[in-house]
Amino acid sequence: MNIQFKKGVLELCVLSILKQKNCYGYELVNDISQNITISEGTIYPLLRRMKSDGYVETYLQESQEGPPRKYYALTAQGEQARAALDVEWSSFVEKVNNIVKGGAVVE
Amino acid sequence: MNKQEFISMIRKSLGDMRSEDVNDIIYDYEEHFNIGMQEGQSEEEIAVKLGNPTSIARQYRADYMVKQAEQHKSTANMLRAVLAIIGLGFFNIIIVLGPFMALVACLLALFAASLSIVVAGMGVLIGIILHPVLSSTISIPGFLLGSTQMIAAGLLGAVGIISFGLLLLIGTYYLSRLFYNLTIKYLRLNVSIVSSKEV
Repeated sequence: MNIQFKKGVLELCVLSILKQKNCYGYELVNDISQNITISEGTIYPLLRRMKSDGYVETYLQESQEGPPRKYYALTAQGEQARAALDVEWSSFVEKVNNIVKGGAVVE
Repeated sequence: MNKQEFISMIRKSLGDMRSEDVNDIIYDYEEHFNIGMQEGQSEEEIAVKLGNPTSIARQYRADYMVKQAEQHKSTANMLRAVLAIIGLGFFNIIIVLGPFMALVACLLALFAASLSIVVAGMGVLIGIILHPVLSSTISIPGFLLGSTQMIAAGLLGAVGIISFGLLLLIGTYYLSRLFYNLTIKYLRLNVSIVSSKEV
């Protein structure tokens, strides 16, 4: 996928995954990198910024293997941001598709 | 690069951030490595997929500096934030840096000008008041001392000049605050664009 497209979309991806389930970092990174090639380390600064903006919150949960894992969960404010990004993204894709599929060309 | 090298490079590049913030950041990467290794990956594989630790750390620093400048308003914090963003190698901020410095200079000039006006007004005021006592050292234009009315007018004029200077000073202060807040907004915008650029 083109780098330009990944920019803003990453935030939407993270918020969308967290809407479905609470994740620890590795899980989240894995879910994303299975679909999109990214430098996995960039997800964590993004998560931290989202936390300080109040979009996500964290809690520790014991795991069978090793130390407790840090889980990320979507907040109400994060859900609002996700919904807004979703609308923006969908309308963008629709417009681009219009052009790509030729529907927008006036003969 | 193995886990320990990766983590110590991040720690080093985070530099002067508060140690609890640093530890919190490191926790994520420790955990990432641990789980990855449980799933059978080597430390090196995990490190490669994570990306360059120095550029990851720069993102944290830029975020942190902007946050600091936002919460503790000071010129030094603002400067650090601007520098951290430039450290991300973001082109736009360099183009913007020229006009930014020019605006800062204008604000400083306004501060200096309003202070000078206040001082000048005080000079006139003190001059008129002290003239009867120190007529040999203070020189006041004769027409100002011609009559009691003229002296009163001179005093009022001096008070007017001082007030004007003070008003200008207050105005400049609010202008600076506005400028500060707008700059923060702009920096935040840059951080969110830049951090996702590393993808």
